Amino acid sequence: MEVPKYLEKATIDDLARMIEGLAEELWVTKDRLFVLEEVLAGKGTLSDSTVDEHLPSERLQAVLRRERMRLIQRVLGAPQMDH
Amino acid sequence: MKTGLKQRGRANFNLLADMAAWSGRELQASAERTLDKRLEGETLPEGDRERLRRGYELLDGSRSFAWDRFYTRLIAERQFVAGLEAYEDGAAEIRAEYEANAGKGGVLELDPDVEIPEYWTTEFHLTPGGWDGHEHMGFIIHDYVYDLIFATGGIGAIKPGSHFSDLRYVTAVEGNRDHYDNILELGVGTGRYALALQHAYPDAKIHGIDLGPSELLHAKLVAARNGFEWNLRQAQAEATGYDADTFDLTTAFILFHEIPAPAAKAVVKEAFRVTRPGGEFLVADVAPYREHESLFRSVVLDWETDHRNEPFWRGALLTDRKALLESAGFVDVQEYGVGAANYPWITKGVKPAA
Repeated sequence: MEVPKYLEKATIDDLARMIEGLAEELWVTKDRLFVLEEVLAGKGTLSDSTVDEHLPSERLQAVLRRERMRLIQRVLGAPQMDH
Repeated sequence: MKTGLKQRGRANFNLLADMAAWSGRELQASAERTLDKRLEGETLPEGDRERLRRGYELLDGSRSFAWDRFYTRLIAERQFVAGLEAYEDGAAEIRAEYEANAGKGGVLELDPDVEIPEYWTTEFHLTPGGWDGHEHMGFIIHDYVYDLIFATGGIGAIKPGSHFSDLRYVTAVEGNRDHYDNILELGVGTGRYALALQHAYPDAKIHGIDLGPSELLHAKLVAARNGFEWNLRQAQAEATGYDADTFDLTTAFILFHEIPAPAAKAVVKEAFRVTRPGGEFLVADVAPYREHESLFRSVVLDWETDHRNEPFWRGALLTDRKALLESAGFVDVQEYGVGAANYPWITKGVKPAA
């Protein structure tokens, strides 16, 4: 089934502005993760290398694999493909 | 965990690998269904080039094909850059591993005067700076990009779900004998096929030549990690520097699609020279276009030529490799596929006994 189109007047500039907005928000989140790691290291919960050196358990690897596939299908699979 | 690998590199490689496998499995299947529908009632032209051209024409306008090719290209661009970034994060541990194993893994002879052929300067597979674009590119290619992204298939000739180290072992055991004394690998690279050869023939002495110092250095580390001692030498496959009649098995894995036709001829001639009378030459590479399971598969493979820095790929897949071996003097030449979708494709022959 053909998916209807609503954005024929949208431009690449519009898209680039949205991507830049996502980059800002992604960076704010990344910055917060680094801050959290430092705070937790300061409290003795983590060492500097705990997260970097951590090998996910088999259980977590399975969870990560499932979530990666969901992300791939949600984002990369979003364009309309052949029927 | 791989040497020096941190959370960022691990997560990045995992995502790229799953993207490649997903696109290879789902989008390619969708595009192939489209091509099959458009092929109904069509008589394809004779000749590999004409059939490929028609395949591209029929896939024109396929969204699944366009997105799959876009993602394939993007992953190809990203994988080595991600590898270089991961190297930076783990450089201290990686250097320490090389240093700790400096005295192990056999002998590495580098030749500062080796003549580097023009074709070798290609940035194969979009590797920034080519095979020696970084002093430890061998490590980056072998341990990170190939082990963590390529290994599970979906890229190039490797079908999703195929493990490419296994493909080397099934090639290695295609020698005619159960035992060899002296094996030479042409284009040993980072030693992945040499390792398979050593596992297949535990008593054999492995020799390997290549042009890239960083690949040879890594091959030596691979030997050291596995407790083996190999003789590694920086040399052209066209001029190995070994004496005539030295090896009872001379072999090459995926070398021939990386070299132009005149070099391929010179390499086979050199292989004949260094192989002992009664010895064998075993080549594994991507199958010729005519041996692929579908027109879609041929198109996807042919695409590599112009889009993933594989300038000699098309020429190699159009070459009659059996005739190439026979013209150099090899006899009893056979050709066949040993893996899924005829990859690897074996061409092997025997040097007549004196």
